[in-house]
Amino acid sequence: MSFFLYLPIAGISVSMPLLLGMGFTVGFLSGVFGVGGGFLLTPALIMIGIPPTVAAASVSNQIVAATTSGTLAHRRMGHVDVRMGALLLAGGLVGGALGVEIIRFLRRVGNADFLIKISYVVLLGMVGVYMFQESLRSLRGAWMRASPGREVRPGVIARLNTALPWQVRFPRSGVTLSGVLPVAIGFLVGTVSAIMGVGGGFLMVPLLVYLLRMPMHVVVGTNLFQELLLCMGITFLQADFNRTVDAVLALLLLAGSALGAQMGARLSTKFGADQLKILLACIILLTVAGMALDLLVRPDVLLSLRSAS
Amino acid sequence: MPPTPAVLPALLSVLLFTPASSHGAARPEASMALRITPRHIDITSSYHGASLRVEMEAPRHAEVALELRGEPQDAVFNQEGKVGPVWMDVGVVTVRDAPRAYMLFTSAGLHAPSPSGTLGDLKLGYASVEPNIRVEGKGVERAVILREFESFKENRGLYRISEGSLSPGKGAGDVQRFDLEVPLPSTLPPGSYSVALHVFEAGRQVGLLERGLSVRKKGFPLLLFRLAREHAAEYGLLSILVALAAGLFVALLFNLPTRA
Repeated sequence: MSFFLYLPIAGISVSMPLLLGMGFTVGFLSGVFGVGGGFLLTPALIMIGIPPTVAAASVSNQIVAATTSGTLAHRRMGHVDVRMGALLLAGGLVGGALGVEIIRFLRRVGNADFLIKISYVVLLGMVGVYMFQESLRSLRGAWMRASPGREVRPGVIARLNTALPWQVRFPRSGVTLSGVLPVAIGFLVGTVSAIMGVGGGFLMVPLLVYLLRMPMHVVVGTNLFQELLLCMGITFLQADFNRTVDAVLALLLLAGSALGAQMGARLSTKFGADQLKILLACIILLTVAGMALDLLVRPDVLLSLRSAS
Repeated sequence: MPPTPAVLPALLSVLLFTPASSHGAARPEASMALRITPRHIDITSSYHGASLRVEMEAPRHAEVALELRGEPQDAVFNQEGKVGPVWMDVGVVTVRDAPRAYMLFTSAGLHAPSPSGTLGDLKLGYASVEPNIRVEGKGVERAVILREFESFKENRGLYRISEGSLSPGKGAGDVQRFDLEVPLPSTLPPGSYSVALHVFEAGRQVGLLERGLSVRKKGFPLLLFRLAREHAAEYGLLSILVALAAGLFVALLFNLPTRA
């Protein structure tokens, strides 16, 4: 029995167990941390010979399955704030469209790729370091607490929230805040995601935890929900405009990832919020280290395929 | 003593009508053969590359080269370069009319006509392919791009030069026989390929035989490929529905209990 399968759009034969394993690993991370995993899976697929454009498009399709499974699992546990997710998505769609236009402008005037790569490393590195430090402090119990009689000044976001209109109660998250804030966060993440070509979970999760003060487990479930809707749109656009979605590749990845997301969702309940945050921070920092190394080391071949007739 | 006028016509007749083989050199075409198996390769769902069996015959003291060449293809690449300490995309390069695949296998004794010559002097190898390739891009160095392009293709198993890899097996009489298994990677694009046997004597090509090879998608890969190209919107919707269904199925399968 052959364990290899020919991918008709990618034009390459790959090992089925390898793809199932890769899908499972990324789905697991999705279930635990609420990130889509595209920033891990796309480079891994390129490494095994999948053309980059097909890898990116097929991963979007796979994320639909993983996030469907993960969202349902988290919804059962009461971790999905649909109202919050809808607002994040609304901002994300507008931000994504702006991000695409920014990229087109940058490519016309100069080298956009340098800016994108450096921004990715710097931004991801800042997020990872901040999350790691904050989670470590929290785990050690060294977080600054108000001493008796001392008034704690409200932070910038809290002051901004009271000044903004359209106060909305989000019962699932246990917060009341201006609806403008999640739309703005969705817009920011959507713009950055479109520029960097990633799902944005690594940025969305810390922003929701630290700026909106949402509970970590609800952030995980809510982010999965909005990524599900976003990736449905991206998959359709990639298939219709670029013809780069390999459904066979996506099917193998999603078989593994849907299972992994379920396992990850179950495991996430066994960790405390700070433990989840510090683990995610470690993964982000490892990814940044890998990307930085990739920038500094000469590639084997100086050409990478965009398209062929 | 010079030949008399009466002898001259007879001598001329002998020279004109004696078969060439009597002069000591056999016509090479008579002892050349090229057979490839299979002639058609079908790419189905379980396709993982193929092995092309090549059987060749050539004159006893000749040297041979086997070429596999694909149709010309255009491809667009991102070119990486160093900016400061960082490697990144610095431009776009188009490579036109390069063969989809190029493989060369030669016998051990095959050498260029001159001591400092190369396979290119025999019109073989990358040097024979490069003159037909066009490279387009802002400020690109053609020689550098061609080198990187050939490395790119070699990494995917589509370009290959194997000098001295053909060793004669059991032959008979004035004929030597070469057998070769050519591994064809799964990345070999569908299309038509030519397999050519070149025969050389004393650094000069004296014979050429060609056979055609076709590689084509078949069955489910062909169906899906056509669906993706010709009904792209429907294909996109189908991909989404399948993904949703798979995610839902797994979620129902696990059926996690809700928390209090």
